[in-house]
Amino acid sequence: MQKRITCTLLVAGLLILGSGSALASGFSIYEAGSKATALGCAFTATADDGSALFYNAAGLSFMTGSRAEVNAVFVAPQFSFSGKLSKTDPYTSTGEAEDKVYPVPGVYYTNNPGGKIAFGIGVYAPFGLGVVWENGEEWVGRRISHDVQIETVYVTPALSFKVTPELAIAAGVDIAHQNLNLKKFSPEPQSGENAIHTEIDGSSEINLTPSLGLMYRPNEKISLGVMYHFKKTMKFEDGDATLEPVAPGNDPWGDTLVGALGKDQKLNADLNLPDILSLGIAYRFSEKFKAEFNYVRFGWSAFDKLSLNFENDALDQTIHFNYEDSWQLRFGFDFQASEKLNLMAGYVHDKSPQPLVAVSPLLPDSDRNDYSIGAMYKAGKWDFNVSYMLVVGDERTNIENGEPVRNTTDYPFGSYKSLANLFGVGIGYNF
Amino acid sequence: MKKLNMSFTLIALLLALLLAGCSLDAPSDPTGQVNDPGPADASTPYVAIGNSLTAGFMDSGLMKAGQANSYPMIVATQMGLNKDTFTQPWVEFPGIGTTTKGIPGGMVAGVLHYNGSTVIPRGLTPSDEVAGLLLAVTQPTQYHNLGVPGAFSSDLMNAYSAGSSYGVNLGSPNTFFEFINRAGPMVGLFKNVEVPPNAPAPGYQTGSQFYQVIAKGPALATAWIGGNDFLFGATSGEPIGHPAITSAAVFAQNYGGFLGSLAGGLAGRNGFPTPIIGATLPLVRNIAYFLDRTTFDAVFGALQLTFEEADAEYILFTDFLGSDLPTTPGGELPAAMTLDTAEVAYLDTEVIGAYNAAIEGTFEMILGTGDVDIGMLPIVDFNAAMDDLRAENPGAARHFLFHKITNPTGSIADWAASTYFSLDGVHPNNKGYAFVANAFLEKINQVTGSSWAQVPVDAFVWDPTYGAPIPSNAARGGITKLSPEVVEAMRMSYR
Repeated sequence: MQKRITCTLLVAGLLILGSGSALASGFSIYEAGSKATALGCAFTATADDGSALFYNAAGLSFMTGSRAEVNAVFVAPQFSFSGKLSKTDPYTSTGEAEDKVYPVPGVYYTNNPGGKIAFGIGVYAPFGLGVVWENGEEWVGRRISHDVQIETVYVTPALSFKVTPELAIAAGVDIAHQNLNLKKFSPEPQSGENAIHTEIDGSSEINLTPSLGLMYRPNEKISLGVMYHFKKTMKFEDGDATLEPVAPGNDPWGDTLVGALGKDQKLNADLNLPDILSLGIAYRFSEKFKAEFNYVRFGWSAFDKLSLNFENDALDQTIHFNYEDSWQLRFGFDFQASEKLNLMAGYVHDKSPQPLVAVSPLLPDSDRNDYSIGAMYKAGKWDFNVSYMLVVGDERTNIENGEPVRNTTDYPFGSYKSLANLFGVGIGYNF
Repeated sequence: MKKLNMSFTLIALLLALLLAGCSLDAPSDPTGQVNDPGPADASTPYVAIGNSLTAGFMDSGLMKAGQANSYPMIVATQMGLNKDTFTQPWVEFPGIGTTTKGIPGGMVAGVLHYNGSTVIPRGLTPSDEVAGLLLAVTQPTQYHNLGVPGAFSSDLMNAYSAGSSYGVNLGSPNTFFEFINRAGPMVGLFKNVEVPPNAPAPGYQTGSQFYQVIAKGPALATAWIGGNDFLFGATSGEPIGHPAITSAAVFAQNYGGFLGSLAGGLAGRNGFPTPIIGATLPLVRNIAYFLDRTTFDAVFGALQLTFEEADAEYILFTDFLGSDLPTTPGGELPAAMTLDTAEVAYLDTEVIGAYNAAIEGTFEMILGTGDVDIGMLPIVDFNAAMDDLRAENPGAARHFLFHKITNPTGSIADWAASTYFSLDGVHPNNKGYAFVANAFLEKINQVTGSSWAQVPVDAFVWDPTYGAPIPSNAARGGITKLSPEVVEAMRMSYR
């Protein structure tokens, strides 16, 4: 029976795998579980459910028995833009991203037999991006991107070792796979009309890096945690690039160029993912109330560029991102309303790693403030979580001293706004 | 349990509120924070608008050798541009010429050249292969050189094809519009400028020169317009009442309408008042197609020729060479071969003088200067420049074949170097276009505060043979007989 429940939960979880959208800064998705989401993902010093595989695997040592858990956080991001293509563009254009909901999975199995060693395995998606601009053919930023999708799935098995009753250390392997899809238009240079549509589609090689965790609980009130995931370089080999003339037969420019460059191309690329360090402290103020604070640091400077190497060297392109290392402050509050019900809330201040020059239709990032609430209900061996997070991005304007930061005819300049609604659900079964 | 239900109700309510409330507005338009655009923000530095004189038409045809020396190309080169950043509708050898009579059926003549004994087309191209001569067929449009040979003033706003050209009214639709006005569809690109309602499907035939220059959005535009509105009438020898001469009132309307729309359109497109440099038209009698009576008498006096128009002041020089008169002592020049006093006065005053007054008046009106000296306006005064040139260097405004007659011991290179005009007598040669370019550069510097260097005119060498082998016994002076077909081609060189 237990096995069947575990299997059912895991299969249900795997079905929702495979999508992603940016909701923490950069294109990180820090919401690996519904409960953590309710707590503003200030979870490194608590890590008392399956999402410990991401937040701090050393938490496994402080859990008891076995647990299977499925989470889905449904992310509904919104982006909007108002601006111009160039200073001499007589018209202000606006744009909105299509309303899409991206399910982000968190499927976990953990086991602590009660000895020195505990273990677990988790499937989650810590990086992802989905920005699909409405009316892509007309969208003012279509020369950079009108549709971008990045999906990253981690499978992390980890072992946690209880050094003393108060201290545990953990190590795991982040086994990652990534899909990348970019779509854009290239204009006929004089008229500015769409001439060529390019789609790049790639699936990365499997990448393995270690992850580490540490948890120290000197007494009932205090818990300290450290989590670290290593930097990754996702390698894309033999990706597909497809170049299509927009008006075949009617546009010699598009026809000639596609004819000369080649319609179907293979390409290689490397995409770097940042390392993640989280330092957490949790304090139990009373029997019923606990609070946690996490300082999270992303090594986003690893994401400096994306070099696309095509079969035809003439197409080779490097997109410079020049991201900087960034940090987040996460606060979580857990109130035990009754024996069975916990109410939770959280707040996050999230510093964007994106320099102003890299603000683009591909990813208009900004500093964010996140507000979360949630509840957990326990019923025997089962527990149920619901969470909601509102991610409010600051408005960002890529104009400095009266000049567009990027004064080209490809990158529009103006103001971007972003917001995301996240709805999480989680079901856990303890046995 | 009651407490629990309440908690859930509260949570559900809160969630519903948040769901309803959290949607994104469009950001406020921040583009007002941006400094006003200036010339550096324009999408292209320079566009030239005009007719054959702007296209680099030479020796009765359009071909890359002449185009390479078009005044806009020279100006653009001095501004640091090149063939990629300043595009022209390049035409391959032997070019697209205007000779039609005496050409085998289904063939199109190239440019004229001097072959050592006479002037004939340098080559022929089957009609159905003419489109293949357009080297720039895969080149993005619109061209920066928007000079369309044969364009009339009324074509600037309206013509985008042979069928929509003013030439239709004169029985010869202007096919150069097919070659040059071949921009892709501009629908949706510039919402304030509509493509003419009768524009056909996307392809070669799209916007007029006006729409194309607005689409380009240049930081600087030059416009030299109007020559064809009188040229065909003038080269008929009987200009008064000629149907191909545009009345001064209509010219003023066309020119004012075009320039006003251009100034407004470019300012709207670019976001800043965009400099437009205009140019006056030289008196047609000052070009090498015409030879003044005094000089004619001095050179051909021995022939004892008489004139149907006794008060003839100018002789249509190439028409004369195409007739039997140079070898017929005592013959009579018909009225169609000369301009008499009344015809000269008509062209000088009622046509070209009035056109130039309209050009000056249009700029004064658009710039709001009131009546000022033309030197204060962004106008290159070619009328005055041609007068000055004739005074300083009379040979520069005389025909290659005239120099051959008056300098019988000279070489082809000597005669070619003596003139600023090509074999058609109407269009400049390399030197002539360099002279024109310098005048534009001087005015551009004055208007925009730039300091682009002028070019050394003498360094521009014109080869009227276009590399054709010249028989060793050919390069001798004397009178050259021209065929009536070639004379006709020179006269028709607007087409």
